[in-house]
Amino acid sequence: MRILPRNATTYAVQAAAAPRRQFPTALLFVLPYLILFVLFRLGPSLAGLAIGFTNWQAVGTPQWIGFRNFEAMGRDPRLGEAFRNTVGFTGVIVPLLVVLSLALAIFLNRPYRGRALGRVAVFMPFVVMSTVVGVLWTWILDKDFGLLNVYLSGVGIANIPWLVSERYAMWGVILTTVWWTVGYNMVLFLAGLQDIPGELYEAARIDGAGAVGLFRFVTLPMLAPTTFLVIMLTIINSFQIFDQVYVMTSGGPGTATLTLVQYIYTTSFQFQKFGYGSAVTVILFLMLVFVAFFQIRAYRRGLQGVE
Amino acid sequence: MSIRVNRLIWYALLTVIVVLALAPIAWMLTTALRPETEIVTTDIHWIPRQFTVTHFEAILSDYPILRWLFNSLFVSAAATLLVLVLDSLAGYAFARMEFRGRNILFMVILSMLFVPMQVTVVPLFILFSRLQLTDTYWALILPVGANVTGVFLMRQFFLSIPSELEDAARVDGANALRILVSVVLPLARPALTAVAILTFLSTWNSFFWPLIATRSDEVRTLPVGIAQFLSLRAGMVQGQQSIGQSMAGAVFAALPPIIFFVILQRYFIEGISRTGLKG
Amino acid sequence: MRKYALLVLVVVLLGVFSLTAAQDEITLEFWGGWTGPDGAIMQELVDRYSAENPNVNVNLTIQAWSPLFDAFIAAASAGESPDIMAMHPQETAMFINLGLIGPVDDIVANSSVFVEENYVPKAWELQFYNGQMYAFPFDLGVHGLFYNVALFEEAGIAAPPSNAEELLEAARLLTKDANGNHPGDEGFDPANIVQYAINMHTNHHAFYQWYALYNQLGGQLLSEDGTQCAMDIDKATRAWQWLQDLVYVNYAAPQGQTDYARDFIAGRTAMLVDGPWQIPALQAAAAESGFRWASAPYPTIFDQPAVWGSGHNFTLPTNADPEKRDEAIAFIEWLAENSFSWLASGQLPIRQDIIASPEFAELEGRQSFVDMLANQKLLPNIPKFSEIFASNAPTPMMVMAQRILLEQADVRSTVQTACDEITAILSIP
Repeated sequence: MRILPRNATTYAVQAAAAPRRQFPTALLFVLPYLILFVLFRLGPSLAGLAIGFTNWQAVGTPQWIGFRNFEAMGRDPRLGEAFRNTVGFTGVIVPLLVVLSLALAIFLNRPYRGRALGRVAVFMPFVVMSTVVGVLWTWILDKDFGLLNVYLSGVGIANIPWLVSERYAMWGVILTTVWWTVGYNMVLFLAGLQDIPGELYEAARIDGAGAVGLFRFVTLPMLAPTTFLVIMLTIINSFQIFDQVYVMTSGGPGTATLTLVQYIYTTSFQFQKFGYGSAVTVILFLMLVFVAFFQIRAYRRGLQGVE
Repeated sequence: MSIRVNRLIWYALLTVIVVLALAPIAWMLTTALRPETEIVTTDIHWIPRQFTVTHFEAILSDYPILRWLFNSLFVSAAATLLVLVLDSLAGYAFARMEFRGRNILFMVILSMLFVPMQVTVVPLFILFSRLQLTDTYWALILPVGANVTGVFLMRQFFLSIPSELEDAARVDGANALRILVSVVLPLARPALTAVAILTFLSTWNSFFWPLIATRSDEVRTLPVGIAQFLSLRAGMVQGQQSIGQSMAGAVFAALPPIIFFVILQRYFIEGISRTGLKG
Repeated sequence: MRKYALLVLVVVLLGVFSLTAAQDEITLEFWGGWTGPDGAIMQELVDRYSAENPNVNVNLTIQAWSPLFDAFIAAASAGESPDIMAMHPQETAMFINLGLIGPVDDIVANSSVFVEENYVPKAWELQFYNGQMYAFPFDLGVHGLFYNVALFEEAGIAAPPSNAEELLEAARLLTKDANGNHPGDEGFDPANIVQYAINMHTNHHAFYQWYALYNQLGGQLLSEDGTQCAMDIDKATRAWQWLQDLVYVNYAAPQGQTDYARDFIAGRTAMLVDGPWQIPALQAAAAESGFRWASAPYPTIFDQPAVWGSGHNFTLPTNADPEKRDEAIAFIEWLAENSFSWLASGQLPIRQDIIASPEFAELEGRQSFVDMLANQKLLPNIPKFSEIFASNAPTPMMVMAQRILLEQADVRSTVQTACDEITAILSIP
């Protein structure tokens, strides 16, 4: 899944500065977008979620079956595995992406020659489409002839079965995802860094702070909003990871890389149990709303603590 | 530490970063340019011993690649234009105007990011079928107009710029549309660029919806077209898949956005940093 | 003003012209999953038909089977569909159950092309479900044994193995480490094997092979009424154990192999179990680098011959435009009559006249596959096919295969788990 700036409800909660009530004008401004939004996003999404309360199989009239799909989840071990894998993937990749993209941003924010090249290079993978990324990395991670294993064998690490073992497959997907999306998060951090006034560093330096001190007492606190945003975005996107898994492993070997959205796809399209797949989506949706809500609250608390 | 050593470390690290980031893309390119016998080997050499364009020739002659390429370009460009217009208007309203239900509406819009596209595809297809618009450019362009990211980014940007200029224009008697077009949007170049790049990329790269919504080569986009010879997983295809051909297809799909990005990259990073995506 | 009038006239004329053109020409939507070299061959056939029939335009859509079925189902949800849908015999029950494809008995009854006597019995029988015929047969395929002639000569093996004993002996001679030692030799180094005897699938073809071996033991997979798993755990375990041992005990096959045909052509494995669709790639390698290959029947490891197989057929979706039905049938009949050209894809003929023809006898490597058609075992054609057998989903069969062959899981308990999962799936109405 693409990591686009899919921010959640933070901003909605903050009341924006608004001079006066402008109902008719505002309506005219919002309406063109709203029509498309309701027709092609909200409508299909609500329909998609509502299917979760039916036994629909893509054809025929859907029958309302209440919460029976949700009850069936308790008897479905695959769903548990998909949930664990998704949480595991998120738990590994969020810290990894945050630390790595922050380090890259700080490094490439230095006023030295070549930094523009560095930024372009790091962002470049993000413009490549997921299907191509998947195929390219399937080849790079090939157990016998892949680029990575050939180089690793040069330093004495022999034949890691990246995508053909339950132990390593998720790491293969994680590696691919980090390469693909680290640049986007780096750009977000770069944006945050450029907003820190130079005077703050000056002042801290006069107070005798070293490089570590500057990072700890100026950069990190000033970057808190950006860090929050990046964490939020990576969590939301990691929970919905699909493309890489679909192209590279289809959830295998065994169930090693089965994630929630991959499972939703499989049950809906491959098994034609659209009702059940949509029910799982309802749960995923509620989980993400909960995560977003909880995070915003924690963030607000944190801010109050600082003040 | 002397400045010289500092510089040395800088360049060394920079080189490592650039190489790690670009190596896979370079590997894709050089793999596409060598014969199959030179691909399946553990004897890694980056420059092909024998250059060949046969993989490119093969896919160009077997598939209507150029038609798919045109479709992708057209759909992505049209969708980007649509998004710029719609999202400037809507983003501005959400940032600057007060109307009943505004915050609730905005939250509803953002919450759509939590619904994976896998469950919306079938209802969306049924809708387009009722409209008799399946297998048309409309089916590929209109849903992009309903995107969430663009509205969000534009709103954040508008919130981040001071409103004095707009107030002055309002005193002069300009209406809201006038203010947006002649006062605000000229300031919004970086944000518009960022939204344009992100929309273009996500439209160019989307696979599942175009797969479902198109069936003729006149409308089919590049990612869907090349998918039929892109897979490298053994047994998913009956008959041996050529790695060189897969990589050649990958190059076709990856190159246009790379070129597009390299041309616009200066505005892009500036754009993101000015959209107020700072939290 | 006159300019405008002229312009309007031209536009109207163009419109009328295109309308009449559209009325004359019928476009048949034809979907199939031939993403390998077979796709180009089907496209040639389609082009030939369109050239011979100027009033019919066949639009062939090719996509891997799985996304193709996704699109088929999404289209069906809106009451749309292609005019002709290709699939495999074991998948028809799934779509019949959803009401997406209809019976063809009436058409076959009046057809001069689809006559039962003209076909291999197997090919004909497979098109029936609950006593009705739902598809037109097109080809069949079975696993067979390809072998590298040069490596066989080098190892001094006269004939391809046909049973367990011969296979193990050949495997011992063909597997060697960097020092040229074979398994069982003093100083043999399993960590340093440079040449393996045979491939081992790690995808769905792994459980296809198991299915063949399980049938060789006379095993049954599902109960007669189709509501539960009827696996004989002892036999199922024996069959899997044989495959697992080839990797972990006999060192005859590589562990975690990613690309079988590639390794076979590169000489990394001396034998390849796979379908006849590999023939074009092997012929290309022969032409390019003098690669020498031959084919043999799938060995009978246990009591009786049995081999996994499948095939392609054509169905008429219920949502298709009824006015184009006759044209669709005419095209399918033409394909059947011209199916000799399709054999270039490696797939096996099912028409008696083609099998008996001298032209077919000249085709390389096919005969040993055709000889096995009588022992072909297809996976059960049931409505819940993909929940149990889908190749790109964590189905009970896939998980069982990968746990046993990639993770060296305990065979008996893994088989038992899969059987329980299958029963759980089938017990839900």
